[in-house]
Amino acid sequence: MSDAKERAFFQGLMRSHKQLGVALGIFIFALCFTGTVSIFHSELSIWENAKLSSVAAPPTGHLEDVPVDKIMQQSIETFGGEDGKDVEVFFVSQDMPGRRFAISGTHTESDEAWHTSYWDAQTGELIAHQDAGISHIITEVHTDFWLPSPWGRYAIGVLGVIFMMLAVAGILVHRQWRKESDQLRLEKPRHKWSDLHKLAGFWALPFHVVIGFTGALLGLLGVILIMMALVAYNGDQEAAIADIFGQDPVMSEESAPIPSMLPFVTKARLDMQRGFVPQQVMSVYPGDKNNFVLIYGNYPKTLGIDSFAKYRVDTGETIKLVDYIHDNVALRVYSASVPLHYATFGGTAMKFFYFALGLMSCLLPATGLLLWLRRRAFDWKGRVVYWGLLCLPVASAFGFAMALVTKWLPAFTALSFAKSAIQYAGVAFVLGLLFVAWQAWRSEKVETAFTQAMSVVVALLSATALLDILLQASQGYSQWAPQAWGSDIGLLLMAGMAYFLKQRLQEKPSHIDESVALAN
Amino acid sequence: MGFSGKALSGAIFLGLLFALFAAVFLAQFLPLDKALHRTFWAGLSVPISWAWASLWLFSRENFSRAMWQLLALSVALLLVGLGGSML
Repeated sequence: MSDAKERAFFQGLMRSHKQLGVALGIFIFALCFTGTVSIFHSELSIWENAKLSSVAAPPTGHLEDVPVDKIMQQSIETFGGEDGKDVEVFFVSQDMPGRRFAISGTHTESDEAWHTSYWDAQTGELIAHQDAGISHIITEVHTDFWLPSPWGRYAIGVLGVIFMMLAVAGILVHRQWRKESDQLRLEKPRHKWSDLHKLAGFWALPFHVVIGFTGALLGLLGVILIMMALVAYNGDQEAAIADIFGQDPVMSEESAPIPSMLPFVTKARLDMQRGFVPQQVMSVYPGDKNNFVLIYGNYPKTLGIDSFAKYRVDTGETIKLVDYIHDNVALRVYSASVPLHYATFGGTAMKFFYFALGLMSCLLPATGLLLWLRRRAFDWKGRVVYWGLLCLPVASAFGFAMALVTKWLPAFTALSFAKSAIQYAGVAFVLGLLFVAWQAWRSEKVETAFTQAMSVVVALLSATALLDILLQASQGYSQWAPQAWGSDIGLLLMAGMAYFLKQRLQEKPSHIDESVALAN
Repeated sequence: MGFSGKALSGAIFLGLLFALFAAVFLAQFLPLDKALHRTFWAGLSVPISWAWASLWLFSRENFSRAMWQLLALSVALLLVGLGGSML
């Protein structure tokens, strides 16, 4: 490539990096921020519930030890309607979080909704029905952008590819990366955001690419696979589905007794490859003649989603065995994209590692947009970008504070306008969004608005965590779930980071900076 | 000099179009015995070829010419891929 062509290539890349970043930066930041918090989704949903956060039961052993049939019976009695037939799909899992509970999900036909419950994994007694609020809202923003299914998922997939493109283009255009990879001049207003942007991009590049690629796959998987299967199977959609998932029986409307699920768990252990560990039992159309079960499980020390064995209940016939680890390499790559994206491997330490890298991902669009905001007047475009950047952190802080109220004051929820935690968290979340909009509208300088917003985040998060620690401690330390105190520490960490950013943005006047530069 | 909003969205959309049509071609012609395997490998190629195609477009000096070139290549891949499935 000649010099002129090379220069044009890098100029083109730089242009695209800047303009794509400004155009889509707030959406990418929203994805990165909600994704980073959602790493601890299951822990936060325990934290939000006073009953669950006060259960520190010992871990259970095999799935066969969990009273699956008893839990299923109770779920059908609770959610199955008058004739018990409203339950379409039921599952019970001991996989998360920390195997201290059995978690069940019951999908009912009449309201087309999933109902999640937590059970004592040893006795099968109900602990609590889940009423997740803010953790659910944040995860929904990350997976669907609050858009109708499946359009939100597709939008997220597109942003995943763009994030990957921006990260790679960013590294390509900074050809002096050897010099820039260890440069952090936090005391210099003109350089700090640019240095942070480059450092976060350079040191966490493999993470950005992996998260972008796996996010794109997860978001667009449905549409991509349908298209490709139609071509590869010459338009025969049914053959494609049967080859991938097996031919499922359809509901017959003819009643049949519900047998014990445990023999199918044992059968799956034998049918799948050696080392298969069942984690979840799913029963589709329980009580119907064409009832079939899926036994999901994993292979320890492998990276992949749960493989499964599918059986007809009446005849015991095997419908399909799907082994994501041993079937073929492409399937294994797809399967690895889920744990790689959600950090469901490597335990708590890996989650904290992902959290730290996720914060670097947040820094990329945030510092990029702050650089852009610094170079222009705080006009309406700047205010919109400011709102896009700050609304989610502030709204989440409002949501966490409200979650604390609904957690410890059940009388508050019983007396007020709404009955479920998610409605309260939703109202607090929207209040947070409006607060930032009001701030963006009335502030004269972006720095002033930013430091005010960060002060609110610091106050709300630290007060929420400290109050929760006090209230939980008043009930005794022995029954304090690790997920709950871990979440409190996480909230304090986030408050600390907001404080750091606030301090960094309280810049020295420019003449001081210049006099320091002259002195050097 | 900068891209207009239309050019930006055009480059991203065209990149996606290329990636999907190239995957159609791969789903048909990858030298693998099972249709299932061809499906998954072709699907895996989409995010990578999409990112590549959009970056390539952005880096071209003559942007509109590059768009036409990529569009022609995409259509050719689609026609060959679909043609193969009809044989």
